[in-house]
Amino acid sequence: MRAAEPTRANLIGWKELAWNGIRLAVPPDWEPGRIDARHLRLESESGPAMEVKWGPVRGAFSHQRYFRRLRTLGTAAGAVARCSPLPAAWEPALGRYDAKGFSWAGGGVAATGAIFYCPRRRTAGLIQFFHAPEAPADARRTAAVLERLHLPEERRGTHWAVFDIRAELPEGFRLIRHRFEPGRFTLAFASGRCRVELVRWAPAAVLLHDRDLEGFARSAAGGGALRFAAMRDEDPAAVEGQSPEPAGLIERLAANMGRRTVCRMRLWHAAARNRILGIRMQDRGVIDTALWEKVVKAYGLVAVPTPSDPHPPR
Amino acid sequence: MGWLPSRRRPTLIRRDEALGAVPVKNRYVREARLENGVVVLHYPVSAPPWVVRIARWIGKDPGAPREGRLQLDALGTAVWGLIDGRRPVREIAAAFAAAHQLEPREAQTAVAHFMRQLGRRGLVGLR
Repeated sequence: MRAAEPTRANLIGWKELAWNGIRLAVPPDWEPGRIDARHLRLESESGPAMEVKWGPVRGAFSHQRYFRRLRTLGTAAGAVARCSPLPAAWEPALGRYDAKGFSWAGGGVAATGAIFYCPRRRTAGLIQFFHAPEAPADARRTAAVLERLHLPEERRGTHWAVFDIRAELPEGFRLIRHRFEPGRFTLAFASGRCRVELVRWAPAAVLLHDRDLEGFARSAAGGGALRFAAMRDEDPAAVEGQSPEPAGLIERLAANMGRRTVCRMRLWHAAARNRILGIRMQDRGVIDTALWEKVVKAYGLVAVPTPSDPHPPR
Repeated sequence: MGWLPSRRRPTLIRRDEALGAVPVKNRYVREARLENGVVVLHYPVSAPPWVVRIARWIGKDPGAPREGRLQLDALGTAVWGLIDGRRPVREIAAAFAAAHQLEPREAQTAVAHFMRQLGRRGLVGLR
């Protein structure tokens, strides 16, 4: 029996999620619970809902090898894993890949998933949907998630959209650090000696209660050593800071030889969303203006889905 | 490779149960509001049992409970104001998220952490 196609009404409020090259759309009640470089676990209020892991494959890919590993881990954890055919509703979505289904149950939890491999991108992954042992996964919902799953593309910038922030990093930048704590989200990237840090603070009204944006940038945002100036005619209100001119003989010599580390930072106040966004770029010698503009332009807040927009983000 | 359940120590309370718990203020806690609007909580603090034992052993009176003082920040004050003995943590987090336009998960984590801190000091109980 084939599951019914997801209707527009079912997709209201779905959220875009993009992490380290992978992109998907998820139901509104699923929130990221665990985030690692190539691993996402989404949770609903009742517990884990979905998990996806992916990575590049070197050499030949074998589903059997991955499944054996899964089964060994499952046995060690007290779960029984077995190969199973892909649910019919998943076939249109996973037909693009070389995919094999599996399921496991143990410890009061069960999951149905697939190990998939994309030969074109040489990327393999595992996706699984958690459910109660006595109730199967919601085929319509899971099929809709899989339909909107996109694997990393090579030789392209990486798109990021998690919680309420979105960004686009040019090719070559890799994630070196991420932290999501209440009030402060941080994503840090590196490409060679260039470092980019994207930060989001909230709630802005509280953080800016007793100081202006420049004061916040100097104290809380770690821009104490930079020279800040308000950016005129910028909407939303923004401040930008740069490393001061080299002082002293050694610093000047280092600057002339391109050995001095310079920093540029911009913070802006998204008042309508009660958030502060900040970008800090650090490099040796000079900051590449074109790169800076590109990162600044692509960094922002995810649009809030409205009931009048029934489509999940593409 | 953590996609299977591991043999971890079982958690004492599930997330949805924790979010469904209703925090109740300790009736011995006294609130004072400062000029800048933030709340300061005054609460009785008993000496740790080992201090009481030593005091008794050396023939001293452990004395009456001291008064502890906790100054909340603006966000803590907002959450404290939402505790009415009827609303569960889930609703408090939702109201807090709506008031400050926070992400639901972010608000839940912040409120849960705050409740734990208050609970450790005995300022709130969960029912």
